[in-house]
Amino acid sequence: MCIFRIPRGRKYFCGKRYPLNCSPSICPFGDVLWQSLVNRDYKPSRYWSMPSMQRADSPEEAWRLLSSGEAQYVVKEIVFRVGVGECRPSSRR
Amino acid sequence: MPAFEQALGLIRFLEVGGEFTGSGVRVVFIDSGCGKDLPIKGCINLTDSSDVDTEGHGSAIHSILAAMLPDAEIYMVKVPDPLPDNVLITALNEAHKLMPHAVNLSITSEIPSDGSDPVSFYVNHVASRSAVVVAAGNGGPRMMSVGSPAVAAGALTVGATDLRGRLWSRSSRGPTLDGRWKPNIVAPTGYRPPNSSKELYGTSFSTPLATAVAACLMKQVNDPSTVVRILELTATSINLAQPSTPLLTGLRKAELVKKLLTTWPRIFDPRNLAGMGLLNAAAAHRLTRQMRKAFSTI
Repeated sequence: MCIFRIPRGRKYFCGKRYPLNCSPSICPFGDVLWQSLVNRDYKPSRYWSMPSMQRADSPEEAWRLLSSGEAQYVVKEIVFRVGVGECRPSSRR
Repeated sequence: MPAFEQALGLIRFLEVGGEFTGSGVRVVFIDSGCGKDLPIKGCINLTDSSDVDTEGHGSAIHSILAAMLPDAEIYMVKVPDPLPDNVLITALNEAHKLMPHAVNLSITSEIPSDGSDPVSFYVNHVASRSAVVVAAGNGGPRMMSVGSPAVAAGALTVGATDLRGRLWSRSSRGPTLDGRWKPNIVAPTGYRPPNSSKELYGTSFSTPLATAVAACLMKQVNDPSTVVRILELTATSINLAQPSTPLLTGLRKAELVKKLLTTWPRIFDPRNLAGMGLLNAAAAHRLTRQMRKAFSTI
């Protein structure tokens, strides 16, 4: 799961390396980790323009923010979990 | 609550319990709610539901903090689950306004990050004034399973051990996407919190143990990065009996794993499993006292 891999038309671009397409050769984390990151992807509902921390509602808007220079890089929204843990009935009295 | 005392004994909190009562200490926890009939100074609710926790996670965190720091001012910011990142940033902002000594964040994602995502960014901002203690996550034994916000450079990221002090197999491991080692330290899980009949497993429940200690140290040194360093330096090394497992999400091909291990040796850093070791409250307190003494004589 890569937070920088953003769809544009039928391809993906790297939110950290505008305007390059997402590929192992340009991945900021190297070609092997690229494989690990793109094998599982997720589709966010929003994007963040950084470092101004403005919201973008679509990949097109994220691209526009990058092309206009308003954003240095763009990341996908992350949804967190509260309360992930396990409960087991106590074995001791 | 013998198991809870066992956890406190393991981190050597009982030795300093008389001094670490939480007097004059302000702690904020961001979670699913607070416990019923537990002391709370204030509550900021970012959901439409009641402040009191119905799922048990928030009330367990609250009961641990209240038992360890009976004299502390405890505040809670209630957030929904699942939690979008903009709401978490709002919660962190609300916590920051309260100027606490420590913020407990038992909130996880397993999405790898290099710490440049907005929440990690904001955690670093809050960590400039308060100790931000974050759960590493329960994504182990996969390497690189520590995700945002635990990857934030300024956060004190807490992994988990069992009650015998061995690394809990599901505690998330580093490194971060940009190669920094995480978690910073580990603390016990699998104990029964006060007023509970269930044993709770997860880095979520290791985190408040570290939060309580960090908050008390913050009151003494008032610098979050120093507190993180003290806790790292005084942590007790733990026996990592099991070798690091070269497991990575999505990397099922053996030749890719092999290539990664040869080109990226930092993945073998033992600090990616348990950080600097098991939290040691007594040693941290001793070092803080020595530091204050040394600096007061200059």
